[in-house]
Amino acid sequence: MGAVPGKSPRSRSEARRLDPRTRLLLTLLFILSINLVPVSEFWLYGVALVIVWGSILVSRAPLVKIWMRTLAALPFVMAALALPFTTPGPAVWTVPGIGWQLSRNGLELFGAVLARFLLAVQAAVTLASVTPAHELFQALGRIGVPTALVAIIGLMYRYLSVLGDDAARMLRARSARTSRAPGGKRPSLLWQTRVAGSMIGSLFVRAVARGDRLHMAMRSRGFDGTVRTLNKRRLHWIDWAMLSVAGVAALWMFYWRFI
Amino acid sequence: MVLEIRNLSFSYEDGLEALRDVSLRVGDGEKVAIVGANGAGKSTLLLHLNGVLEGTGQVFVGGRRVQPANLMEIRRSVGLVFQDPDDQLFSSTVFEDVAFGPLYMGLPEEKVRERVEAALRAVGMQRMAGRAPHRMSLGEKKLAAVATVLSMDPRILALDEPTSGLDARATRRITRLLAGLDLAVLVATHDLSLVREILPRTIVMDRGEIVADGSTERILADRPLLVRHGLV
Repeated sequence: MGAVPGKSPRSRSEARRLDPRTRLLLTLLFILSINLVPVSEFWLYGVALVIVWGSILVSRAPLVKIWMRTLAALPFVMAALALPFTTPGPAVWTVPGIGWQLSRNGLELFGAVLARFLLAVQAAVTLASVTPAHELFQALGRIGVPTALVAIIGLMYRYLSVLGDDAARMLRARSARTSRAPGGKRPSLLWQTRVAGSMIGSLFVRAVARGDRLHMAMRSRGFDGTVRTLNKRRLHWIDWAMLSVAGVAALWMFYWRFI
Repeated sequence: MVLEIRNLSFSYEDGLEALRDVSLRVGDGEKVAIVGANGAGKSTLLLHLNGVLEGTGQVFVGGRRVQPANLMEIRRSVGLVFQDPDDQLFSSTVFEDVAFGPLYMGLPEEKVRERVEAALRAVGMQRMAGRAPHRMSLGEKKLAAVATVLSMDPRILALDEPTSGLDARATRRITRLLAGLDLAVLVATHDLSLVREILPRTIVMDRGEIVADGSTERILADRPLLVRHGLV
């Protein structure tokens, strides 16, 4: 990126990069499409996997990091763990002692949920890995997400690290004063909860105070309550081509599923 | 005369009297230090220069009174740099932050980009436009914070503790930058070496009042005055 982002027309090498709006829309269309895949058509998940991994390779995104982040989201799949037992269908196994039946349809459904989840998370994580946050926020604004909402998301992202630093400093200060006399008892859980509660309260108060100062800083530079942005990049043929392909694929999935 | 304050008083909502009958005048291009112990009213005074806070009394910038009707115009003329650069740099990139002021001035896009480039060049950060503020050092953040108001081409630059928390090298960069600016500069600070080096006039505040106003040389030589008001 040059000294002034978005100023010059895209160079030859940059022209190969997709516009952030295109990347965002492609990701959304992909997630929509895989959620329309009929449960029994497992081969389509293979196709989707090739698409995601192909994008990861082409964009030279860090594969290990993407996998780690995907796994971090895995606990959410727990919500679907009951499906193999609750979905009606021919039983393939019975849990000894309890008598719960594992149904074939339920297993298929669970597999589909797992596949959709992993693919969707990988697509989203890939998007976030190859697109700088500020470009993603601009893209959100330019595809029609209300600018006030985009501004709030941007501020949240910007101040998350500041708040995190505040929290880390408080934790360090607490640790520095946490010691135990020989033979002394461990503080009670209630006491520890109270300390944690007051730390959260204090963080909240600091965040509110920072919000006030931030508002003053914005008003000082002429902020009038509306959100204004620069950077009006145009979509190139490659963006349109990719969006058309993804759009047609999504429509086809929709047709297949519902019509 | 670029700034005139007449009998300004201000109390916070909790009843704390932060400014008491403050009057002062600052000429074009004059460089003034505002010194005083913690809680003396320095920051509160700066917040009145562009109407972020409104007390009783009168503030004039470039001959125009600071009042709700012309706040937008006043804010173009007064560049306020806050103590904590994290308050000033609220966008995802330095470019967006420096462009914020010119954008709200209603300038056309090309003009905004010119202003951003010029402001970043002035603080020596041309290559950092695309950087995210939360990945910068404190010294870089402070310089970028100055650029966010220089891009508005102000007549007065008001800075709150511009060198606090900085190491010697970063302090030198800020000092050199402020010394080279061709506009009125007001600096609220505890850094007496900065004052001695580049600010020929010093105003001493204590408990919301101006208790001394004169040449920096004379005021910094008056040790009893400095001791009395908690400066040394």
